[in-house]
Amino acid sequence: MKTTWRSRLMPTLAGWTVALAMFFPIFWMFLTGFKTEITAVATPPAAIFRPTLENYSAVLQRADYVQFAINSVVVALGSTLVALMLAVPAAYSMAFFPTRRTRDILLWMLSTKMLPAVGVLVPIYLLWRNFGLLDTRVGLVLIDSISVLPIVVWMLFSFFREVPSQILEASRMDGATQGQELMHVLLPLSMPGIAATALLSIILCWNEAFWSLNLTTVKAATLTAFTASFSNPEGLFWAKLSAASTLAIAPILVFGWISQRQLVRGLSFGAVK
Amino acid sequence: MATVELKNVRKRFGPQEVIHGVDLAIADREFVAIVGPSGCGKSTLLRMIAGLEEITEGEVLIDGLPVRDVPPARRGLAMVFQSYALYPHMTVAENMSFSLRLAGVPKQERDQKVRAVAAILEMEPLLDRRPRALSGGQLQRVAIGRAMVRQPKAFLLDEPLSNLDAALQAQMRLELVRLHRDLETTMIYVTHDQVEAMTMADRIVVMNEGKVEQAGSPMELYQKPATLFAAGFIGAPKMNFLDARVLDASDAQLALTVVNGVTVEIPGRREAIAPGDRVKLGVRPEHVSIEESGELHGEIKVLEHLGPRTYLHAQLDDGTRLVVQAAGDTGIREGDRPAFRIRADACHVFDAFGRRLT
Amino acid sequence: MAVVAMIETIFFLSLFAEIYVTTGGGPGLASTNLAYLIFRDALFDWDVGRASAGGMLAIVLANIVAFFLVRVVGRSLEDLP
Repeated sequence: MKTTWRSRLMPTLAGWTVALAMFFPIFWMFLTGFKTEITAVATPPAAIFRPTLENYSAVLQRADYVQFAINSVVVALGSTLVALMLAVPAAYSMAFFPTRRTRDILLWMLSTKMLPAVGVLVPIYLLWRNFGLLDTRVGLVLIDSISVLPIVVWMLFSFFREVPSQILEASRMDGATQGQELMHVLLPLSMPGIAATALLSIILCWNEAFWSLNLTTVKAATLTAFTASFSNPEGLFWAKLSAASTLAIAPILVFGWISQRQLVRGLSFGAVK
Repeated sequence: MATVELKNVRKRFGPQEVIHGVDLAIADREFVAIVGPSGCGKSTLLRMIAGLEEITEGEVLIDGLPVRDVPPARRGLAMVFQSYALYPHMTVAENMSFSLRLAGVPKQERDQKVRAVAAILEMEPLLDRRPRALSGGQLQRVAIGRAMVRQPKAFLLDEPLSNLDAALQAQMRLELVRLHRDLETTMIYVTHDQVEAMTMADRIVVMNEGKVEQAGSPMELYQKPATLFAAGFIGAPKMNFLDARVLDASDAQLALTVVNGVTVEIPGRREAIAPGDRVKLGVRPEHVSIEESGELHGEIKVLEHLGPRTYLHAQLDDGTRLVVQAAGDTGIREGDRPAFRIRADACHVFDAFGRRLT
Repeated sequence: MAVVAMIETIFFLSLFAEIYVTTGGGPGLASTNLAYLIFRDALFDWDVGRASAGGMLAIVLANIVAFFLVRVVGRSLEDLP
């Protein structure tokens, strides 16, 4: 079936329209960061303006930007690491030694992801308070790794299942213990999948706002809370907020751009199962 | 070198029993082929010997020692998988030396052993390549090489040639026989292809539906099949089977009526048989000939010209099919209605349960 | 399509950060959703009882949608024992 440029025109236009529509707010936010506060809220919205760096300097002057940025990095990496350490054995066991209950367990894990976090806000807050985990990075890593664990387990499970079982049997015949089988054969072969899972987990933890806002205040908050702090009862400082937001998402945007191929590959594998 | 013994081995998957009490004794340095149709349990049996499947009941002994609780790596066996199962992320040399690496063998010795095996299999130029850069035949060699490096007591081969094209299969069959002779090691070979079994094995074990039908040398199986199934499985084209009824049994011969009341007299005494019993008469295509004085009549439906031989597929007057072997340059044609003679002394008789009548 | 709709429904039920940052639920309660309401009850008014009740309600609502979603996803796991 020949595809003429005509038949490709409509889907292409639609795709570009959607992409631009989704990207536009971010682009606008990027621009707004360089406007003065007055220009930022002008109606009609100003497309042409004289750029200024006053917002960025104001944002960066706040002592806690670097602090919060470090927190974001630590929490994202830490949660991913904890999640992986728990998920690899779990996914291994479910992929290669499934029982009658395995299916139910997997579906249950998925269902916990559908739980709205607000539902457990009260108990988690109280628990964290009682254990002295409020406003600590450890506390945040704990809740984030729990939040992201179902996704990590699911993705690792589907990647592990793609490794042909005969190759693992061959390693057993060659004399590998279970640990050696894991280290020398399974992990190397599923490394692309593990990498994609880790990337996704980092991105999800970086963007995590709900728990960061509720469980932390000054010491352990992440960039998401930092961005939110630019709202106050008198109204929003749109320009500063935009500058802060841009700074908050810049690292992860770059990170996502660099790793986009792995991400797409990893996500599409997980979904097709 | 090793002996392998199976004693009343059974396998169950949940409530379903798939291997029903198999007894087998494999001598040192023997090449034993386990053949059977798909699903007969031959691969499962091999995997139980290897340790990749649990033995539900019964004993597997290697060199006289029970191995039920011994993990696969410590049984001293090496397996060649149907899909080769090579490690895609390692080079050929690393694939072959992996087992040595796990055992802590120093690098120099590892390299030495790998090179020795590579020389025997004539695959030195492949050592630094990855599996994805190899052809089917080369992958096969690497799989065999990986097993050889371990210097096992016995080799287990699970349909290793089934993924190769016909020409390569024929070539590899000869190579495996040569290898077996040179290595002087027990080989247990699973296949669904009876040609492989016939040409390569010292002994053949025919399996069907989880049971051993017969075990014996290729010629034994060909000339004296113990069951109807074994008779039909070994030999290509298949043995012809005719429904028959006993007319009279004496010390010298057995008289049967087949097709349309034709009588066949088979020399030799047969036990446990009475007039009126229903039996099956088996006769191989090469023991049927076209002769004017033949007892059976039918029409030639299809001819298969193989060059040195021609197989005539005929339909007898009562609908029974008969395959006859004829010379390559036979003048018979489709639609002809010749008479067929069966060589009475080359016939096999099977009772109603499929057992050979002797 | 159905899967996307269900996932989005669950996601929007718990929409929080956007409200927190932009309108703070106001003016009054105009832009407050269930999630923000629970948050406010728990951490501003310190009415743990009301917040917990709200939490239960949110869970029940999400469960209804999740039930169907899990069924759809479960079909892709048919090959497990």
